[in-house]
Amino acid sequence: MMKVPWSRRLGVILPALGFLLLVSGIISITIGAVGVSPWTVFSLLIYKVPVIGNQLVTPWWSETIETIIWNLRVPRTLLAAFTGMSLAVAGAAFQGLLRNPLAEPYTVGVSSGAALGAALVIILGLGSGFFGLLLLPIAAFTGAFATILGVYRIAALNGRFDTETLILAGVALSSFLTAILSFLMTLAQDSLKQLIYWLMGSFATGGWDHVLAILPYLIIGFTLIWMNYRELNILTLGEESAGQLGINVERTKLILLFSATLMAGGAVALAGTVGFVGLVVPHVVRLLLGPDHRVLIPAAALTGGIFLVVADTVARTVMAPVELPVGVITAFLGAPFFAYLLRKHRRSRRI
Amino acid sequence: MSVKIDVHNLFLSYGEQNIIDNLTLAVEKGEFLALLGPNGSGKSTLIKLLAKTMQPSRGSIYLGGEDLSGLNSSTIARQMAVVPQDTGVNFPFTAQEVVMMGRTPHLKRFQSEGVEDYRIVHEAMVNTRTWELRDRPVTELSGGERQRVIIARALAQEPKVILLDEPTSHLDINFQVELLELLTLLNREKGVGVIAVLHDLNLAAQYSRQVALLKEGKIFALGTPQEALTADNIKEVYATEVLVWSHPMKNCPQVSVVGKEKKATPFTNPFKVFLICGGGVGMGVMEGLTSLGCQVWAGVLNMGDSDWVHGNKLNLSLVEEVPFAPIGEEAFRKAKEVIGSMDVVALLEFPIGPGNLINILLAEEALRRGIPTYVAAKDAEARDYTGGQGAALIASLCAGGSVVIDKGSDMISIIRDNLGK
Repeated sequence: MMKVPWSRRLGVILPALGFLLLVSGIISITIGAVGVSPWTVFSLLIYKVPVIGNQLVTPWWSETIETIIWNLRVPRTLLAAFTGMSLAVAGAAFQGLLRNPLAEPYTVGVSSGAALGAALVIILGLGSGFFGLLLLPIAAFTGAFATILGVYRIAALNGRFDTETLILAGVALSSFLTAILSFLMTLAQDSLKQLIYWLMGSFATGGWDHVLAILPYLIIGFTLIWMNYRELNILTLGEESAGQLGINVERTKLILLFSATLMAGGAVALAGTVGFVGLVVPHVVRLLLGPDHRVLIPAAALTGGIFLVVADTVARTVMAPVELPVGVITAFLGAPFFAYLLRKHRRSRRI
Repeated sequence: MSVKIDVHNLFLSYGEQNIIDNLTLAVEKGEFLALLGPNGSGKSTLIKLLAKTMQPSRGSIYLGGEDLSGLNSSTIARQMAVVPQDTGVNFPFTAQEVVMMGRTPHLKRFQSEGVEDYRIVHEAMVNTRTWELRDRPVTELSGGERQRVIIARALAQEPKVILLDEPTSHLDINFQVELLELLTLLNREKGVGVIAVLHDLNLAAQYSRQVALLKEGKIFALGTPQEALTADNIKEVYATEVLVWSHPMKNCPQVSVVGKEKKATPFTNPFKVFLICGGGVGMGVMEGLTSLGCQVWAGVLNMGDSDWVHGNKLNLSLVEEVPFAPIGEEAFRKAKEVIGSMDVVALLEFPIGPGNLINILLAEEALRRGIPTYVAAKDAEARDYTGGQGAALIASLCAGGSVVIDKGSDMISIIRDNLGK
């Protein structure tokens, strides 16, 4: 069997996934209290392209429809896509960096750290307005970065760490942080409802400002991680081997930890703790396309986007008009998958 | 394509303990150096220090004249490849992808692997017989296969020197030999330096040009295998008695284990026992009787015979003949003389050939002198290669008043029982 070279894999897979993301995004936008046809959505998106858009399409839709689509549904879908991208890429990076297929923002404690950081901002009443949107991700990132450093310190012995220990440390620290969070929530009764809803993960409040706020975290994180695809590949062989193959291990680890935490922090701050995306998506992509991060990272980004767009669509339609938090949907799919991976991991000592 | 490595007064300490203790070593260009020593002697640590995977507490290492601590990992990786002991991989990269990772130090950040890189990877995989594994996920390979993939990766690095930490530990003997031959070839033809921690003293002696024996973080002996692998050095380093002899086909020493280091037992009883043996049948009896405190003699033995070697190790008195020669008049006469002063004589179950047939007559001599004589007569025909003469002599011994025993080792309990009385 001839091995498909990576360039062909990239050249075919990425456009295909991009197309799928676009289609699922448009379908998601059409669904809601007010029905809109996919063609209208597509035309409106073209119409909104700066400079040339209004020359290609003449609007036939009402202004109300335009407001619903452009001001409510498009940003919500984009926020879902960007969150999915951030979490999936962060998950893939954590898994490669920690040589642990069970690692993801949720299991290594980064999500809880980010949540605590962001919750503090909300409880202190600083979480609203444009300033709040700027502050939230920064607080989330700080909490997340402190947590991953803590987990690392607990699990590592002489620079090496055991796969299971790392997850245990993540879970332990995660529970600890969640306890602090619960404690703070009991004290802060007035922002309780907002906090709970946000913690479960939701794109309901997502507007254009949220989209703009998450974007820099996504772009910076993704670029840094994809730039280091080769380092990530080699780090999966272990830090010693990576060093002996000419990788500056400490610097690379720091860059990757920083980037993955940045992306996870941004996502958690703006969409709440949406679990398991970072676990499931890289796994599925790895199973289909192999572990080469040159392909894995962008493919995981697109797949993560698709996954959360679909999950969000399900979350807001399955019990309409009641909206489920999207975190419920992802956990519903992700937790059994995690259990399955753990079981497989125990049986074969590898995944 | 080679590089010299100099190690000056190297220390690695954990608290009070020096894992590497003031170690100085110069490895010439294109050397093939085996690092040997017991567990905990610092071999693996030395490899990690040379690879800059660990930092020394004191001292310095020079790679081609440049201080290792001033070189970045990429510069080092272009000159030095490391094959680690533990080759676990968690992610299902294909074998070829793993070998291609060896090209990393030669590639710039955004540079893709080119035709030349694929050619080098192909060559490395063919040489290590891993090319047919190229599309298999490394997670599904056996330990030995994975090790060969890692070795291929090291070759793909095109290093000037390759460090190996017990590279043969997961390999079957045929792959061990294949790997060492491959390293020898690289060493000879391309001048690639090889520094390998090896476990097997004989393979090390056979393939390396220099041997460093490590003990407690120091170099105990350094030199060619002939110079370094002496029985005394090995005894000192491993606390194990060995025999060193010359490989029958190659000009290198070979090592056989005799046992843990033993103290010579002083004679504690008056029994003088003469063992007529050869071909290794006397080894156990010699040990047993010596440990009972008897004064043991053996003969007539050709030098180099395993009973001769063992008797020497136990410091016994032997009547000997030159190697591979039939037992001559002079040795026979001397043996007869010795037997005259013995308390017990035992004829063991050695294979009888024309050269040592005469040894049986020693038992006859003992009988004639009225010395208690024991004869292992069982299966005499089966080990008689003289066309019946040997078996006939033994039969006449049995008929002539000697005590028949099953096997030579029965002598140990017989003597022990006699001592009890």
